[in-house]
Amino acid sequence: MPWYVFALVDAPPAKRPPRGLSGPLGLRRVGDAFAVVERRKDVPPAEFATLQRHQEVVTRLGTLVPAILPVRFGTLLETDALEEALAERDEDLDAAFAAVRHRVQFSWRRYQPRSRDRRAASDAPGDLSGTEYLRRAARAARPAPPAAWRTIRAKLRPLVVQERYQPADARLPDSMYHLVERDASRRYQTLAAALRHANPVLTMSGPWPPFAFAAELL
Amino acid sequence: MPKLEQHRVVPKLAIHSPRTSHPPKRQVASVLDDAESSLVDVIDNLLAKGVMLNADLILALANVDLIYVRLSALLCAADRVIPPFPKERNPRRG
Repeated sequence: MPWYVFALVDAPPAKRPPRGLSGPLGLRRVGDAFAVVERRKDVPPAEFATLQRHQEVVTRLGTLVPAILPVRFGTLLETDALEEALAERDEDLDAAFAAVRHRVQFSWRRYQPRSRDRRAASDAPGDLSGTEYLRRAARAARPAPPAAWRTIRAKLRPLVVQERYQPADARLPDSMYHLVERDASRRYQTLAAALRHANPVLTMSGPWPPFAFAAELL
Repeated sequence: MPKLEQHRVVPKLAIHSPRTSHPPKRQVASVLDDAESSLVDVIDNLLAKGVMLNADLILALANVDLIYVRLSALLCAADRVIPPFPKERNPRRG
């Protein structure tokens, strides 16, 4: 029976890990890392309750280990496939763990009217010169946070190790992710709560495992 | 003899609804317990990078299995597979 993989961790959990989706969690050693797995014959359904449980398991695990790399939902692998996927990738794993070790993620959302988005989307590629099309594609690949995020970024910058911005799309609102040292998360939350209440179009959640900063190794 | 009016001091009656008798939540907790944001977080944390699909496909003819295909596919938006920031700049260093 294959393994359902929740996350890769750099050390065994300090305490007993939580239960998985329907059974106990196990650890599979893969090189210098460990895969946190559960025996399952099939991929769990992508229903809200299952997704929420998956997220809870990974979030709880994140508090029990120095570094965690959440794995994409639905990753079901046989033992040999799991080992093969991570074979000779010790350097990649080390770098990925180092980037998130003892760090947590906070997620900000900015809810805004969609009219401006629709106007931008209506510019068909056929109406643009090739140069302009490539310029826009390059900007879209590395979007810069708009000015509306300036205050949040400036106030929280001393506590932020790494930042990612994701513009709004059909699935999600404008989002900003901050990677913060675990030790600094209380200070971050206190500051963030004040900023959040000063700006009602913003929401903030966390601390999370570094979902937005974890390298995809599986 | 004029009638003496009697006045009694009525103590102030404080009426509280049962809900307000609970200690107020701390501000940080109220931000984090937002139920609406939990749905967005689940979608973002678990589905934004796509999902793995696994399937077994068996092509058979007259109840004889001829071809077995094991599929393992990643289903997601193309822009989420390619990392948007190959080398992040540390915002502390400006």
